[in-house]
Amino acid sequence: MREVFSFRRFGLVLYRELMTGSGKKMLHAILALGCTLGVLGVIIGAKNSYAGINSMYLMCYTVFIVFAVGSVNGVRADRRKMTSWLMLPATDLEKYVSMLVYCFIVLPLSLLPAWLLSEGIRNLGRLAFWGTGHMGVAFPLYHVFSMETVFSFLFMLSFFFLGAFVFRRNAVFKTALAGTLLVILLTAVFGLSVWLFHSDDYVEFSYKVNVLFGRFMEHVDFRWINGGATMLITVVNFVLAYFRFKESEVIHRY
Amino acid sequence: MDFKENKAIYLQIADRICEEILTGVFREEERVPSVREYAVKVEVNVNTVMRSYDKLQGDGVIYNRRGIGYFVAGGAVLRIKEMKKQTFMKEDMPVFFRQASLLGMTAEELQGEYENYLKNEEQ
Amino acid sequence: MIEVKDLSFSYKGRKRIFSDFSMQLGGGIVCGLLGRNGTGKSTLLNLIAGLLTPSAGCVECNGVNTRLRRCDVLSGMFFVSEEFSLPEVKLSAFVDCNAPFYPKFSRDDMKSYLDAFELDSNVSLAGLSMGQRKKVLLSFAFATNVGLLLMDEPTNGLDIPCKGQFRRALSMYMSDERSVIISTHQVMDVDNLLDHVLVLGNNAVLLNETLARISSLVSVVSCGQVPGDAFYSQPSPVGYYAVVPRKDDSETDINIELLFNAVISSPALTEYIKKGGK
Repeated sequence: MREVFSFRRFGLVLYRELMTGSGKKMLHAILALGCTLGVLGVIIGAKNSYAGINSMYLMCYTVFIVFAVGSVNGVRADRRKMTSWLMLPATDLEKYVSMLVYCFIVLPLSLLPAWLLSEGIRNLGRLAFWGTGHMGVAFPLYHVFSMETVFSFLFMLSFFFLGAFVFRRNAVFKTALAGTLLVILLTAVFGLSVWLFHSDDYVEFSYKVNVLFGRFMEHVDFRWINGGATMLITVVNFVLAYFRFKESEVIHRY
Repeated sequence: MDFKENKAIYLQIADRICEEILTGVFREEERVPSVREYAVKVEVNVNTVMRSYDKLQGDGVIYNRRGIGYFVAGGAVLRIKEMKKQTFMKEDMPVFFRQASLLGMTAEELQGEYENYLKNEEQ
Repeated sequence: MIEVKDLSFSYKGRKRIFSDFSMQLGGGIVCGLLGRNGTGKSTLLNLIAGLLTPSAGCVECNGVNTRLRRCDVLSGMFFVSEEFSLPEVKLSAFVDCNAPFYPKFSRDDMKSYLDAFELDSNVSLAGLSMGQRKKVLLSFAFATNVGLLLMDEPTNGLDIPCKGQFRRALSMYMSDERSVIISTHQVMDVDNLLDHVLVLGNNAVLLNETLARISSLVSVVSCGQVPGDAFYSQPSPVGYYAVVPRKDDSETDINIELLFNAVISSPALTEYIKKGGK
């Protein structure tokens, strides 16, 4: 019992969460998502192009995952559930990892039945309205799936995951707001500093930067730096979320 | 000035067990319920019942056979009656006598009433 | 078993509830946690359970700081809070999901406690009334066979026969290695089961004693006129109930509600008890 992480206990925590926690709600959400997308697909896509359907589906799935991830710590808003969650005899790491697994493995996997359901409904609809000639399956991920998009998506999700532990209520909304403000702030700061220091010789300044940077970058594949920074920040977000989780209390004191 | 006190629960329980021994619910050399069993039955803290059992042991009413349980001691009935008599004479009688003397009753009146009572009881 | 060391705590922006509070509670006791509203009973239970972080000091259970929420400590503790929520699943599913976390959990015990509460084990939690859900939670709590049970108003919502069932279940649960801390206003529901009393006042612990010691020091009497040395008295049908120092006679029963009223109104009484009778 003294181990910091036991697979057995972690499994029990995940099982408990799926069976008696958000499992049922998630099931309903998946069903609702699948049906809605199916119906929408019939109405919007009608008998033609797949591209429109794919982007719409992609957007819906993204929004769904973002909300689901952002609400992973929704138990915090309910003091009664929070008490039993914190008192559950498992280590903080096991509880945290179960939340990670729920968000980044169980949830994405659960989109598969939603997709199947939506395609089933969509094709049934198309069959009913326009006959067999227009049946087919849409693969929303097909054109976008690559290591980079996956990492970027994970990068964005990690902020919402962290936000779930930082904000007690309406975490998704607050995280989105915070992210937007942060981007605006960074752009403003950067733009302002450039304008302040080199408003007259902006061209020369940017030329100098490019040269310096260029020489430096000659030997470096910029993609790796970008990817590395992204991954680092993602990991940092998850680590911060873990320590924030460890600090949780039954009553919000901040 | 009348002072009345409720006896401590452990004493009440000890009294009750003595009553049960007198009325034959528990016979001499027979086992009485364990401390836990009795505590559950009367819905009282185990430590309280433990104090009762300790007192009864000290008074020689019950004894403990290690690993088996508590048993009513031989001669417990007599011992209980003797103890009750002592309590009666020490506590109840003075109260009765005080009341009687306040009302101006004589010793002969008291004796007469008591003898009448005993005669009625016999019948 | 439970050691509170120099605990200080306050909610943000509010006055201190505990200041350098220390106390110890051993094993095998049933402790009643009493206090007026707002004196910090639930807060103390939450602090003992590790659900809140002290501003200073700590609470240790068998030498381990409970705030660390170590798994082995948590599996020896169960908190029955006043407000709780049970998932809307079958009782058997609830047990299957939660029992494995408690190594000493016994299904047979769960069955006997459910029987004591006259509950069928084959039910869905969603269809139960509030009182029945409380009984399910209590049965589960007792069946975990943990060393420390923390209960906040456990008899709240239980009807009169159920209070007896609760007392019986608690008696069945108790042993030398197990302790229970019950925070309640309904002290008469459990008074015969308590052997230790903890009374919280505003900003201080007024009383932290075993009932045995209290009844060896003071007596509760019923009288026509209040005695001169009474610490406290309150009206009764025949005159007054009073708390007086114990003379050399047999111990009296201590009515805990009366004791509570006496303790919160008479600092002299708390001093007397603390000093063991002047």
